[in-house]
Amino acid sequence: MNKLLIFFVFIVFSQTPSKHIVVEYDISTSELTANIPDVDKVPKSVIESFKKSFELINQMTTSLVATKSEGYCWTTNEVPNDVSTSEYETAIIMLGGNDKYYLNLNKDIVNKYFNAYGEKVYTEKKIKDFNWVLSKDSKMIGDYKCFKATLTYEVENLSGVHKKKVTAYYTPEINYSYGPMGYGGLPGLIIELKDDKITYVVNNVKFKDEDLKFPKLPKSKLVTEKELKEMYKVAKANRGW
Amino acid sequence: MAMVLFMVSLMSVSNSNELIESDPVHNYDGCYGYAWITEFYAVQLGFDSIRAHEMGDTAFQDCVDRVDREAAQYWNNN
Repeated sequence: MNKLLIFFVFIVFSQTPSKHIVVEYDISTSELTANIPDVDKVPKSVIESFKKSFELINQMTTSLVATKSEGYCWTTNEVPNDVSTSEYETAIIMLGGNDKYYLNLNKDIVNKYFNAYGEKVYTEKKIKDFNWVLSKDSKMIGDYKCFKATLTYEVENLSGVHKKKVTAYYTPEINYSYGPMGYGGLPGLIIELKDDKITYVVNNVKFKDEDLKFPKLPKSKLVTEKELKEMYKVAKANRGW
Repeated sequence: MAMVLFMVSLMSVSNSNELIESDPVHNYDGCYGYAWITEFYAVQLGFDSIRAHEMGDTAFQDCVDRVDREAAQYWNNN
């Protein structure tokens, strides 16, 4: 509640034209931890370990820095002293906490930089391919009227195709078409976003008057989805179990 | 002379590291199953192949570290 108040006050005093913004999002996994499913043959100890990792995600924050034409997203995930390193590492993997995103609205691209089977790689897709469905539904978040937009995407793995839903609330009053974790392309800043069962909510927006010194993008190899599938087969075969 | 020295060294080694039946076995056999079930669960929850694979790797490494710690602790105390 306090964070929301700070956000509200900050926004009120920050309505001057800016050259770039810095946004920080809190992360909540409460829905995930409350409904973690039992799966036949999976021991309780493994399920409990997953639950702890899901809870640790709540300690992380994810950030965005953006001009009107370019954006960059990353997650802050330093291991706290009092937690199990492996459970925290798993939490980072679950969230994609080591992933970085670069968006360029003029070029209509979003690049995702990540590690795949020990290699630094990135994928590239078009921002317009997010295929947002805009709605008239709205709600107030802080001082801002936010409109709802949704999209769906699919994750294919060995157990089949998993359909995921994303619900975003964006405000046209902050004219930056970005959000957390590489999401963007809406007519305003995403203030709240629910990606499947993980929720991201803005806790701080800073409007900066100076030019942005853009973060250096990781040196990585461009890969396609097809190449990633091939990399998976090779990694699986090399591991031998 | 060399033969005698070799025999003496063997005797000293066998005395200090002799295994007895009650000594626990410390190996990584259980780690493969633990890592496999972790990856299996991640897949069931809908994580993509890259993340599930990475979670399996992390679980395996965690298990290996735990076995090493337990073995070191046991041999320090015995």
